[in-house]
Amino acid sequence: MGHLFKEKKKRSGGSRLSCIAMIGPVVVWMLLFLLVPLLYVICISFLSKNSYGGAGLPVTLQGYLGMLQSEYGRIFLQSLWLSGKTTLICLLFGYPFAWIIAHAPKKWKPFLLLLLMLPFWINSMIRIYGWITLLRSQGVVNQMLMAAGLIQKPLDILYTDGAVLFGMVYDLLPFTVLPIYTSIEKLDHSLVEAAQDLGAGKWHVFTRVILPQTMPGIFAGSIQTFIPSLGLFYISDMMGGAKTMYIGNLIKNQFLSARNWPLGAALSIVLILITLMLMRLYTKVGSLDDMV
Amino acid sequence: MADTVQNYVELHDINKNYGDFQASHQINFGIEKGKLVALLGPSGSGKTTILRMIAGLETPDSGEIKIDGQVVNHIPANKRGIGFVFQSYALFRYMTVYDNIAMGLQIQKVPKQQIKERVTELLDLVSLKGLENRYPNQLSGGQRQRVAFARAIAPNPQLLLLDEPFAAIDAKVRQELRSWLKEMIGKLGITSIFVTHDQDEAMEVADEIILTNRGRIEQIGSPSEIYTYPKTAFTASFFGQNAQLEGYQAFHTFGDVPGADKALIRPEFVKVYKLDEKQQYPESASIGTVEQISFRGDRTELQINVNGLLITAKRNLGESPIAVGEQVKVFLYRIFVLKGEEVILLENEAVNSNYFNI
Repeated sequence: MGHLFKEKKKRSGGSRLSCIAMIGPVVVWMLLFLLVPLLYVICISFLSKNSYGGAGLPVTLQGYLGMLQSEYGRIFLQSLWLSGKTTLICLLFGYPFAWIIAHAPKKWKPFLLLLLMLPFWINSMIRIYGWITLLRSQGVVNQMLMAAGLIQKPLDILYTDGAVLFGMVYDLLPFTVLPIYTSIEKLDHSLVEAAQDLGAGKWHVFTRVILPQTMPGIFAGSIQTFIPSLGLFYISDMMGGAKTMYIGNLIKNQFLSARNWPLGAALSIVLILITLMLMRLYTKVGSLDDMV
Repeated sequence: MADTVQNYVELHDINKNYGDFQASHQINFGIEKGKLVALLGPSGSGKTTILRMIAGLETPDSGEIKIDGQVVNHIPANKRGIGFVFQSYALFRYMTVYDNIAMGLQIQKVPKQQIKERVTELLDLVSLKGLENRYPNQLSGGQRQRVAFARAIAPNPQLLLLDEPFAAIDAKVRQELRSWLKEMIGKLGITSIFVTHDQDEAMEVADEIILTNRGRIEQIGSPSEIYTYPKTAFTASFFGQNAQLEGYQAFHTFGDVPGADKALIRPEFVKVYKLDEKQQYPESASIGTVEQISFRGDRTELQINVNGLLITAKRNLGESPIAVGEQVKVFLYRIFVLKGEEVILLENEAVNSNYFNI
């Protein structure tokens, strides 16, 4: 018995070691690059602004109280509104897009998916610069329209709220399409046939069968679009000319130009909390996915 | 077949190919109103394709499908008003039992109160009262099957199609559901066609059997007709517990069929006697040795070796027992002689002096 027990203990010890070896690096990585910076940001958010543009003692709630200014509330709402519009437009374009890919001939699918993923190979900021050269007043689009005689003077396309929205949709569309594509691929076609036998036309088939079945994809796509869109500061900076302020820009400014780190940190923490709440919703829908 | 007017469903010269695969070849049949018909055949015989074409889920390459005298080839599935029960039930997983059953009526924009009455009535009919707020994954296989049935008949279809309705259900419940479905369809008087690969199921449930094989119809008839008088070699071998006999001439007093290759024999064609038992036609019996006995509850099944040919026979429990290795007399009442695609029922001449070709 004693011998057996020893054997067992030794084996479990060995498996523990290999376990540490397996997840150890990941844990170290997360500690160093996620947890430590996060704690650092939380700490800063409770400190006060010092005269050199950094953060120092004493511990206060200044950062959080500073957020109560009506200006910041408006910026939060503005950002949520922009993200909401971005998500909605991404859904409107992304759903048919995903549908077309999912129903394309088999040999075309990998190619179409590749096209969808292709932009990820180039840094997003560089792609946005590309749009700037296309859309600015002396840009390719305006020049072509003028050469064609359609317009007399350049259109103000760039540095508008519309341009920001366009940039956001452009940047985030693949995040919307992919989860929807997956859910359309998983569609149970016999349910469509069952609905048809019950007299359902195209509209009913879509609303009563296809939409509910692809809802998890729509939800996942929305959240995967909405969350990053809240933090995308450089698109509004570059394509909107920093005319309208969003949370991302606001946070960036508090750290780089306004030099109010505690406020910037407090804003970041609130943004993270909003994101976490959305993530929670997302995992809830994830479990709904098992049922459907 | 008689081209009578009262046929509710009619198929004329239906052909359907999937690439090189011939799923349906020159399919012709008619079904009378109110009948419960089985489309029977081995898997891949094209029975489901026929069902799906009637439902409008597949389009035939050529030929005509008529329902209630009207050609429906170009009417889409959702306008045919046919109830369909899928093999996997295809219940809407994200809807409750109630909503599943109500779906067809909701699409027809039937007033809410009326839907409620109808669904309640159906829940009662299929004995699922109290389960209306469950989701399909909270139901057993048999319950799901009954939801699928209720959903299909909710809009009062004139024709009900069922694709392997019992395939996904365990054996014991399947038996109950079979008689339940037969009773239910009889009560509703709804013309129904169901697909199955199980001959027992088809014979027990159906008024009429359409036997399919490799995209063609082999035979149409009532269960007893098709079982007793098979018209093709395939039909003869598909039904019953057949054993093949090479060289049936070894048995006594059967007429000779020129060009016949083999014969089929069913256990009920065989009568076994102990050597000391009295027998009606002593000259026509052969002597064999019992090789194996298996107990089947109400009877025993004997494997008898007669001059190297293995024959299966049944013996009732009441008769005096036979032991393994015992010599017995074997008398064959009749055999099916196969000649190419043709089948000839051969009666033992000791019983009947002439054989006839069906």
